[in-house]
Parts: sequence; C-alpha cells; structure tokens
Amino acid sequence: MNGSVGNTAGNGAFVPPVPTGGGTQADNWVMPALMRHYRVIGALILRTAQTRFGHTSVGYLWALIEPIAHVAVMSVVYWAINRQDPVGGNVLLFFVTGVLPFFLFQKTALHVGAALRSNQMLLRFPLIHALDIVTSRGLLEGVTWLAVSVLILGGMIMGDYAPVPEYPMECVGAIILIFTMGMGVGLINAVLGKMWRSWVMLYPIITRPLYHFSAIFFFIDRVPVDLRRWLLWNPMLHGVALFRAGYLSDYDTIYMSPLYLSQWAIGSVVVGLCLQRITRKRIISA
Amino acid sequence: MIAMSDVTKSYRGRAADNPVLSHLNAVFDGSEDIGILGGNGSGKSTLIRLLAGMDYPDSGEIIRSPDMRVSYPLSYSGFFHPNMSGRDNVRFIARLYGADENECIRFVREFAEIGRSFDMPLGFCSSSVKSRIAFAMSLAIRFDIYLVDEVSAVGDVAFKRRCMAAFAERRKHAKIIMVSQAVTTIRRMCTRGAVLVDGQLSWHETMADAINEFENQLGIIHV
Repeated sequence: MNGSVGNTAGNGAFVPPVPTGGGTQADNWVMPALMRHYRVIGALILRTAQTRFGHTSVGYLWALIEPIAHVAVMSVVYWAINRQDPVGGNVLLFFVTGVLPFFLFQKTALHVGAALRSNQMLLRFPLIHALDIVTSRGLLEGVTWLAVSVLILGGMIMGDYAPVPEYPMECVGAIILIFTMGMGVGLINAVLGKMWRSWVMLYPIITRPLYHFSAIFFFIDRVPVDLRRWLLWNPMLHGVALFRAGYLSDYDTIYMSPLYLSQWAIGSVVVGLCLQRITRKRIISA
Repeated sequence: MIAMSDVTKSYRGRAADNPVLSHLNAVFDGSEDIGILGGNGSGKSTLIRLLAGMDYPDSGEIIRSPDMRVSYPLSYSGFFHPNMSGRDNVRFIARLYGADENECIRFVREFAEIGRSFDMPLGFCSSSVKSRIAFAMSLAIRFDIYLVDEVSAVGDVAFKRRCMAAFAERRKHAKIIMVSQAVTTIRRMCTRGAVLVDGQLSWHETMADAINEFENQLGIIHV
C-alpha cells in the first residue's frame, strides 16, 4: 500500500491506512503494556482538556479566577472588621498559601470523583481501564493547579507582594502528599458515586466544613486548646500547614504532622484501589 | 487468539439460574471467518461485547493474546463524544490505538464524504453522518480480528457499495467474527460457524451445517 492513504483506486474502492503503532511483541509484554497506558492516559488528558473546559479559553480562566476570588473576599472581610494580621503581617500571602493547597485537594478529589460517572461510555472502551480515566483526570487537575499556582505566586513575587519560598522542597513535599490524598479520596468518590448515587450529594455536605476547619484563614497556634484538639484530626489542616511552613518559616507550627498527612495520603489511595478492584465488574455495567 | 473459558454472564433483572451465556468455552484463533447464528435474545450481542472487552463475564475468563488486535464492534459509535467534532473523535480513537492521527483523519474524511459536518460537534450531526464516521473509523485502524454485530449498512446505495468494497479489502489481512440472524450475509462472509442456543455455542465443521441447524431450530420454534 506504500503507506499512502485514502487513495481512490480505479474501481472506486478505498485503500485503508496502515497504522504505525503495530502489534505488540508477545515475548516482552511489560514495555508494550506500559506504553499502552502512557498512550491511553495521554489521549484521555487531551480529550478531557478539550471537553472539560468547553470550547472557549474562558474555562481555563475560571481555574485562575476561583482561588483569587476566595482570597479577595476573605481579604475584604478582614479589612472590614479590621482584624489583626494572622502571622507575619502579610495577609495576602497567608491567605494565598492557605487557599492554594486546599484547592489542590478539593478540586482533585471532586473532579477525579466525577470522572467515572461522566465517562461511562469510555469505561466500555476495550483499551481503557477505569484507572486510566481516573489517573488522567487527576493529572489534568494537578497540572492545571500547578499552572494557576505558579501564575498567582509568581505574580505576587514579581510585584513584591511576597518573598520566594524559603524551603521549596518542603512545599513540593506538601504538594505531592496533598495531591496523592486528593487522588485517593477522588478514587473513593468515583467508586462510591458510581455504586451509590446518594454519595454524590453526601460528599459535598460531609466535606463542606473542611474549608473552614483547615486553618486557611486562621493560624492553628492561636486556636483554643479544646478546639485545636479536634481540628488536628483533619489531614488537610496538616497539608496547609506543611505548605505554609515551607513557604515562610514564620508560618511554622509545632502542631503540624507530615507523618499524619502521609498516612492519610497512602491510606486513601489503598482504600480507593481496593474499592475499585472489588467493584470493577459492577462499575462497567452500572 | 481469544480464548473463552467457562464464561457465564447474566444481567440484572434476569433470573440468576437463567444466564445469557452459561459455562461457555470457545477458542478463536483468527485463522477463519467465524459466523455465529442466534435468535432474538440468544446472547449474540453479549458475546460480541465480551469478546471485544467491553464487559466482564460474571465468572470464567476471557484471554486475548497481545499480538492480535481485536476490534470494537464494527460501526459502534457509542465512544463518540457529542461535544467533540468528528475530526476530534477520530483523533482521540487513533491516539488510543497508537495509529497515525493524520492518516486516520484523512482516511475517515475522504471515506465518509461528509464535507463540513466533519468539523461540527457530533451532537449536531445527523445520525447518518455519525454512522458514516463510525464505519470509516472502524476501517481506519488496522485490526487483526473484526467483530461484527449484524451488518447494518448505512447511507445511499453508492456508499453502501463503497463500505462493502472497503471492508472486503480490509478482510484480505484480517478475519471476522460475526454474530447475526441474517443467514445470507453470514453464508457469504464466513467459512466456519456455530449456533448460539441456551447460552452455549454449538459448533459445526462448515457454515452450511450451522445454517442448517439454525434453520431447523427456527422451524421448530415456528411450528
């Protein structure tokens, strides 16, 4: 066929193209299998990016506007009630370094959680595994968050509203742990939401308080002991604290436990994977 | 090769002791064109979906050897996203299979002959445009085994003829597994056959024998 495509032969019959990514080798199946996952996840990310944010670029803009709006509203409230600055005198930086890590968890858990429900038709595609859909959705969310964070923090650094991070590796660690937990909780959401419709309504109600209890707009050291004892159960509070402590040592707190956050991150992924494994037959036909 | 070992499949709302497929064993080695005959509700589509990997069996195993590409059911358009154009849908499926995107797009565009509809969201396209794209898409990827769930030709006579010609060209390098109740089509395309009855496959040496059994079975039902 000389690799040519769509040639109309004399009798009007079409010559179909011969794809380049030919058959896999039977003697070594590990690399082909990995390449297949890589390819499938890549194709899914591009597709989701195309459909998720709509056909205009305003969709991407929303990802940037939302965290800024949260910070703006809280800053105005602070200014209106003329409260004392939380820590270190830079209210804006305090809020931004709280809202951003929280959004990473919330958006990942939410969108990964919706990925299976909104892609029912793809679950049936022979090449696509449910975990491919979940992974690609999470990666897209992670990359979007990274771009938004770099823009916001980068903008603040350029405009002299914020210093550069003091311990960047600590921030990176926090981001990895928070993202992992977002993936784990998202996977649990995806499975539960598929098996049990009410979960889609219940999850936002149950996790609503997280936004207020993750020490985004207050400093955990200044909370009364009786309340703090309970707040420290929330893993996202530790995520926010770790990110902040990495960004500015003024924000460091003895109550922060990276270990507790890690345990949640790993535990949620393990539980999510097990749930997915148990329900995989029912999910595809549900 | 696709091997089905002790495969049982039933659906919700159906008595568990009356599964669609029941302890079914079969090996498709891709050396012949297989035709499977069965009446309404005998489990033909279920069988094709299981072979394609679009569903899991309740029990039993289905193994596909990695060196053989098995298609999704011919002309299936359920994977298309309504908010994406035909072009983008084709690009997505080409990427999944690791086929050359531009070649696939060019092939589908020229084969389907749908002009500017190719760049419109599929949700806005007529069902005939969708099925033209779906058929062309099935041919744009080189599969070793094509799964066919009844041949439903679409479009005008000229397009139908072109579909048949192109599919015939494809079949020079690939085999088919077809389920149908249309005896004439199966007789023309398949060399070996089975009848799907009571959730089991009853194999025959030649397609003609299988057709005989199927017609006898129909006769009994009709009388």
